[in-house]
Amino acid sequence: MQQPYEWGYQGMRDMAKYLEGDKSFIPANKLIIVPTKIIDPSNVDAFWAQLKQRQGK
Amino acid sequence: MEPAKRKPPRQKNARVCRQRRLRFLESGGSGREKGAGRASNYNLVFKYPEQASAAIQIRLMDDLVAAGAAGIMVSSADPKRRATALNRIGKQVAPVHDRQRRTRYQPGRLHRFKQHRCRQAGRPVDAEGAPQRRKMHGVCRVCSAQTTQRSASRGSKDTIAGSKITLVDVRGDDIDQTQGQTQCRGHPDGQSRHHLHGRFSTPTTRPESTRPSRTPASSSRSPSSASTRTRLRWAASRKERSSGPWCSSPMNGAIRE
Repeated sequence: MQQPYEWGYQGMRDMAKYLEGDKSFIPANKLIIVPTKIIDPSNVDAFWAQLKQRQGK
Repeated sequence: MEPAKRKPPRQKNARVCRQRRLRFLESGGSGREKGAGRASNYNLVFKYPEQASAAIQIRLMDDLVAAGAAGIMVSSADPKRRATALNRIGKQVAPVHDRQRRTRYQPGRLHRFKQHRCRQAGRPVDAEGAPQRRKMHGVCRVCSAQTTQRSASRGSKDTIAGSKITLVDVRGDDIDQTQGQTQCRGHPDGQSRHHLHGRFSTPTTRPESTRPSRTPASSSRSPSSASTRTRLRWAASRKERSSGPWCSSPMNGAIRE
């Protein structure tokens, strides 16, 4: 599962860092991957609740 | 002697530009709000193109650059074909964060590759691959985009290649969050594993005829009693089954690589 929350959070945080002149977080390949979240029957309900919360429902 | 007082930082503008309104991506909004808490010196402006059009998005970003944006965070539409335009914008304003794919124009990009995602999805199953485990691996994902499906299919197959796991089917949530949740919860075969990946979007109604078979591995089902569309899907998925790990989509038929 994509993690748009992490994309929003990390993107905003890193953009602020960059604009302040801190480029130390940028890896050599200039690539930051937001990891995939694995959802299976054991955690789908928790994920669902969190998704709803983050969507403001 | 008193230390020199630091000058308050000048307020800068940071912009967020999304492809379009997708329900799943709305959760990115709360992430941005949390991230914005660490960037209180910035004015955040959210822009939403009226359509998921790359041309509109590029125009919107040009306007933002002209308006003096210090940085743009973008969920780019069609980044591969728009790399030139993104490069041009990236030279004028930095950084540009792209959530989609590898391009060569900016530092600090955030990427989520579809294939990468699917390779990750296969790993936990692979790790648990006990000899007695049945060769099943179910994947739920949204079926709205053929290109996304192809990437997902390829990534999943790459992961399980050479293992005891067979990708049985790729089931879509039909852009319906509740359906995606239900599909992830249960499968008639208790030995199978389902991983939900992809994204949720806006709800749609799923036609009865396109619902997935409860026994996807069954080869005894005759296509003659089904609709033409179903027959074609059945034939295509049969062809893929005969050549090893296969994957089919209840919405769009077998995935052709």
